[in-house]
Amino acid sequence: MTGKILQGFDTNKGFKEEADVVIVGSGAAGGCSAAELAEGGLNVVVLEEGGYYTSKDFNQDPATMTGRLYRDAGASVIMGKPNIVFSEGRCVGGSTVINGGMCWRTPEKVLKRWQWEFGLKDLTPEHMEPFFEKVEERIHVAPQHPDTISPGEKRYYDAARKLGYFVNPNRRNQKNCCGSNICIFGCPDNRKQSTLISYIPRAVEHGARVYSDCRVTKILTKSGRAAGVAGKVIDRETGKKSAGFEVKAKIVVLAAGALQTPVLLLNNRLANSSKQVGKNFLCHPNAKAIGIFDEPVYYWRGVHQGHQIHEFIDEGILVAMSGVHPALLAMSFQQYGEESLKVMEQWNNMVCAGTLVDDTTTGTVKAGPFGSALMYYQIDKEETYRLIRGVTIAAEVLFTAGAHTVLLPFRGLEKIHSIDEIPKIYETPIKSEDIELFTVHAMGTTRMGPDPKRFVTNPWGETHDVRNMFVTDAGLIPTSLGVNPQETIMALATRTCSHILENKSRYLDV
Amino acid sequence: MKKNLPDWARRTLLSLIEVVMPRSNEFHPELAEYILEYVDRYVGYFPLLLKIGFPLGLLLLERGTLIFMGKWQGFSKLDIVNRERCVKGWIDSRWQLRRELIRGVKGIVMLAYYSHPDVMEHIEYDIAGHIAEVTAKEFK
Repeated sequence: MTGKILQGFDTNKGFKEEADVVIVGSGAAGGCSAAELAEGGLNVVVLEEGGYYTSKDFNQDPATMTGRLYRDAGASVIMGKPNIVFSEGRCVGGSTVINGGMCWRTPEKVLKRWQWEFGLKDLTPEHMEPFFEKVEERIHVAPQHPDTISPGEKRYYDAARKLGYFVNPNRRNQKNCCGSNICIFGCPDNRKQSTLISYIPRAVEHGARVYSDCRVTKILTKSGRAAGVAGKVIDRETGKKSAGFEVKAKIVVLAAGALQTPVLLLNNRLANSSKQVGKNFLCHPNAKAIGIFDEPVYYWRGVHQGHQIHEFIDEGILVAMSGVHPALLAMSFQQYGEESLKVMEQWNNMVCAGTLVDDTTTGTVKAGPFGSALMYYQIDKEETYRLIRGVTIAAEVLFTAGAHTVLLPFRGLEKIHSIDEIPKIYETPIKSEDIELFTVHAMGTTRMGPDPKRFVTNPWGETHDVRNMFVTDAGLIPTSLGVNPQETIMALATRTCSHILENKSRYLDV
Repeated sequence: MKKNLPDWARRTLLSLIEVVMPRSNEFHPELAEYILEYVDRYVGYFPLLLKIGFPLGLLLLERGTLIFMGKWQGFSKLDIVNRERCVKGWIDSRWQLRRELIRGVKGIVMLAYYSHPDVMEHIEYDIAGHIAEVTAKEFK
């Protein structure tokens, strides 16, 4: 079978396919699963709802690129107090095309927690080691070249070290990254090793057929087993659904992400005897603090994120600097009108730092109208405290680096002017709804575990209720990781695929 | 070019843009039109619920002047000072819905404004120059 990538305009009259495996989604989980299974000799079809774009199509215009590469143009909303802005990829390569490329193994203490609390006894560091190694080799996980760190980030790094904090250089999936810092609109010269560059071409080389612009709406089953999927081809220009398609397969792999996979299961009334589909939604909330310096620090002239402060990981707090487009930064500011321009005229004197906190509560994903996902997440008191503490740490580092002002994400306390004013943050009665939040890490909505009453899938990702139907995306992850989830997702997907290949006869001789 | 918002919603949006965008720059009238088209294009990418919700939010802003300010005139008919007062009222509202609606629209207007080449040049963000410079180097 010859592998290829087919786009909506190639298939707008609809199509029928047969394969050993059909994979829904082509991001961290789907792209990785496709390559592993195709290389293992299986006949693979990948269905991606978004379009197929390569670096030739990438540019620096936020509206164009968010429209092309992001679900809902990056403006999805998780409802709660406050609402949380959520962004994820929707294109061939999924969120790996638009993420910052951070790669961290699942921390050992997290794996231990999974063993104790969720009965995932096999998930020891020793068991996971070969999967992490394989992923790191496939996507070329490497430290960042020091010359690609921006002057602003160097200041931030030096200040954190001066404060005695443990700072970890980021490991990223990149080959010779030059720090163009436009990762979130797609790497302009394919240095970031997203699945679009790494896994998908491998899958195609081994015969996989990848269909873009195809939205799966129906999961086919027969006698309690998965039997394929069906859906509609989407017209990329109008967003309207055109012809239908059907892919019959002996194995169905759901890798549409922790928001879309549960919606697909709920709409098909499948795999939910535990009533846990869409529950346990984790979102790793983020808040930011912006330091303004007297002189230009050009924090955007370097890699998107070169380091992370891991000093507070045990408190559930990760602090990092992050380079974004000025338009994206300005849109999250409380300032507008002249005040906004006054702030943004200091763009080259700014450093944007952020904090990500471990979830101490969970939310829900429900099926909304027209196949949409409705997300609810109410941050609790502990997370509110952690977010405030994370922002104060970021502010402390920024002031130590020489900032004269730090802009805060709190309604009612927009800025402070010195390290001595940090206590003001605690003196101000900041409620959860007063914090400006966003996130890019959705997890936990189809979590894995041995008990069919508590978990949607077994420890290998196969759903307890429907045989031959697997989940390989972030929905499997049962608790917050404390670090970026990309490598964990890929390692778990690699593990599931190795299980499928080792038990090929069981799954394929139907 | 196909418009995603009806004319009445575009009128309200333009009136809002005039409040939210920085106005000191000389090029602002053209810029307001540019932002309007940009936001309209962006709305085209929205999911259906937001495509419906966005103009409804603008309708609430337009007609809400009676409830929230005691004025018979719609938002787009108010002078700039009263529009500024109205927007401030939404931003500081006790209703989360009002706050979030204005935050969303304000965010998209800012996105459009700071994506304009003249504005990027004004704040000295030359990403194309930076990319050209660093891609010419070898980082091995």
